[in-house]
Amino acid sequence: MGLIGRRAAARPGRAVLATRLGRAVLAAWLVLPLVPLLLWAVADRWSAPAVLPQELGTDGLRDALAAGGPAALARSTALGAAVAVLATPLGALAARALVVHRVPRPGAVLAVLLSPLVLPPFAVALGLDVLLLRLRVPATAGVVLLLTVAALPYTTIVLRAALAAQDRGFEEEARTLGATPWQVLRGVQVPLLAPALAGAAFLAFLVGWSDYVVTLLVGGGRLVTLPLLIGSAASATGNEAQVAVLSLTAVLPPLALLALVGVPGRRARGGRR
Amino acid sequence: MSGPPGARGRRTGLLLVLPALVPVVAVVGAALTSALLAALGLAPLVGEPRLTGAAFTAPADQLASAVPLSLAIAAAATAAAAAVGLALALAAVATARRSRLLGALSAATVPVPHLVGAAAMGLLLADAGFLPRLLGVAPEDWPALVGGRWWVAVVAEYAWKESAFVALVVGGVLASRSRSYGETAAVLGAGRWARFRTVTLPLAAPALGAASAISFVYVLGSYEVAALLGRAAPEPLPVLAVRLSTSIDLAARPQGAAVAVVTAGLALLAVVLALRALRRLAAWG
Amino acid sequence: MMTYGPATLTDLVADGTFPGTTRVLTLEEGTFGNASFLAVPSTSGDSAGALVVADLALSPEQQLAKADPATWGQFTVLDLDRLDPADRRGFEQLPASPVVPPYEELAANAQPELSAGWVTALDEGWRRAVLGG
Repeated sequence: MGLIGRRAAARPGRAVLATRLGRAVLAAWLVLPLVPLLLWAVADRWSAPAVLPQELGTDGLRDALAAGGPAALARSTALGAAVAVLATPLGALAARALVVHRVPRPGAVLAVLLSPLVLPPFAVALGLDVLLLRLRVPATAGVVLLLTVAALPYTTIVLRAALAAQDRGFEEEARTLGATPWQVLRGVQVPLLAPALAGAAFLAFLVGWSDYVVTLLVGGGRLVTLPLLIGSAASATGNEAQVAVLSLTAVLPPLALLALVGVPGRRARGGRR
Repeated sequence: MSGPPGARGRRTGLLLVLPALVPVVAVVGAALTSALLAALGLAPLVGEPRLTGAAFTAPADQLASAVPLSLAIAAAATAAAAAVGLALALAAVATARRSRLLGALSAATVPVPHLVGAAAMGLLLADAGFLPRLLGVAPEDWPALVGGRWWVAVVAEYAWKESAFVALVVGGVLASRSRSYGETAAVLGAGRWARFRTVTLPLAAPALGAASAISFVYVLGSYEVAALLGRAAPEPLPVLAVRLSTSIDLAARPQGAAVAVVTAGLALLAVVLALRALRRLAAWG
Repeated sequence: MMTYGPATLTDLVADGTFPGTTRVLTLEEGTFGNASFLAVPSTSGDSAGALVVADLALSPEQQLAKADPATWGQFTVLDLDRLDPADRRGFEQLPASPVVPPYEELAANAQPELSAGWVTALDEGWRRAVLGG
C-alpha cells in the first residue's frame, strides 16, 4: 500500500518537472534574442570568444547620440502618433458603421478595409512612390498616408469586435433621458469603448513606429526614423553597441505603452464577456 | 442616429465608413494600378509607353528562384511560429499552474519591431554572436546561420516574432472558452492527452489557422529581415523587387514593379486558400 | 583598406583612426581615378541658379578650400598653369601630406573609370558569383 502510494506520488512529480522544463525552454525562446542586445548596449569591448563583455561603458550610447538618435526618436514618435491619431477615429467610425448601422454590401466593405493586410507594404510603396512624386505630395505626408492605410485593418478589427460585444442599452437609456448626440458620444460611447480605443491606437502607433520599408522607399531619405537609423547601423560592421542602444530605444517606449494600455487583444474584447 | 435598418440608417452607415474606405481604396487602388501599368510597360520613366510583358520575362530566372525561396521561408517560419505559439498559449492559459510570466513575455515580444528582431538575431546567431559564445563554439566551426544557404537567421526571426503573435491570438480564444469545456471533460473522466486532442485543439484550431495565415502573408511580403540577415543571391521576392526598383538602371524599374505584382498576387492567392481552409475547418468543427 | 578618397587619410591618421605608419599603396598596373562631375538635370526648375553654384564650386577659392587637408584634402580639377599667379601660389603653399603621395605620383598611372554601362553588369556579377557563390 505504502509502496503503491509512493509510486503514484512520483509520477505527477515527474510531470511537473517536464512542464517546468518545457516552460523554461519557451521562456528562453522568447528572451534569448534580447539578451545580446542588453549586453551589447553597455559593452565598450566584447570580443569573441568572451561570453560576457570585457569592458563596460557608454560608447554605444555616445555613438547612438552622435548618429542622430534623439532626433530619430522624436520623428518615430511623431510618425507613430500621427498614424494612431488618424487610423483610430477612422477605424472607430468604420466599425460603428459596420456593427450599428447598415452598410450596403458589408462583406465587401470589410474585405476592402482589411485588404492592406494582404498587400505587401513594399509593393504598395513601390507602386506609389513615383505617383506621389508626380503629384508633389510631400514625402512625410505620403509616408503617413500609406501607414495610416496599413493601420486601418487593425483599428477596424479591434473596434468592430469591441462594439459587437458591447451592450447598446446604455446609449438608448441616455437618449431616452434626453441626452444630445454629442453628450451620448462623450458621456457613454467613448467611455464604454475606451479600452478598445486605447488598444486600437496602440496597434496603429506600432505600425508607424515599427515601419522600415515604407519610410525608406517613400520617405526619400528625408524622414530618418529610428528603424532607418538601426537599418543603416546594422548593415555596417563594428557598430554592435550603437545598434544595441538604438534597438533598445525602439523597444522600450512600446513596452511602456503596453504596460499602460494592457494587452490589446485581451482588453479590446470589452468587459461584456 | 441609432440606426434603424432602413435607407436612412444605411446612408448614415455609408457616411461613417467613407472616411476609412476612401483612403484605403485610393492607396490600394492607385498602388496596384500604377504597379501594373509600370510592369506592363505603360508607364515608363523615359521613352514611349508600349504594352509588353518583357518586365515579367526578363527577370524570369530570378523569379523562378525567388518564388520558391519566399514561399519556403514563409512556410518554415509560419510552421515554427504556429507550433511554438500554440505551446506558449497553452502554457499561458493552462487550467492548472497557469504561467503568467509566459503570457507577459509573449505580449512583450509582439511590439518589438521586426527590424530590431533582425538586429537582435544577428547579434545572437552570427559566427561571433552570443549563442556560439554561450555554447563555446569557435566562430570557424559555427554554421553560417546569418547570410548562409539555409536562411536560418531569417526564419528564426520571423518564427520568434510571429510565435508571440500566434500565442496572443490563440491564448485570447482559449482563455475565454477552454477552461469550462476542459473542466467538463475532466469531470467526465478525460485524460490530459484526450482533453488536448478533443477539446483544446479543436477550440484553438480556427484561431491558430487564422493567425498562421496572417503570419504567412506577412512574412511573404516583408522586406527588412531578409535584407539584413539574408544572402545576397538568390533573393526572396521583396528584396528582389526593391533592388530592381531602386537600381540605377531605369530599365530595371518595370521589372521591380512586375516582381511586386507577382508578390501581391501570391499573397492574395495564399489568403483565398487560407480562407477556404478556415471555412472548411469551421464547418467541420 | 580600399577607399575612394585617399585625401581623407591625412585627417584619419591625425585623429588616430589609423596608425601613423599608414601609407597609400600605388599599383604598378595603375590606379582607378575619377573626377566628380556637376550636372544640372534638363528638367531643373532653376538651371541658371544651378549654373551659378557650379561656377562657384569650380572657382579657385573653393577649389583651394577643398584641397586643404584641414577641410577635405581632395585634389583640385583645375589646371594650375592656367591660374593667375596669386591663386597658383595658394595651391603651391598647401601642406604636403605625410600619408598621401602628391597628385603627380598618384595620378601617374591612373586608369579612367569604366564606362557606366559596365556598372550594373559588374554589380550583378559580384552579387551572384562572389556574395551568393
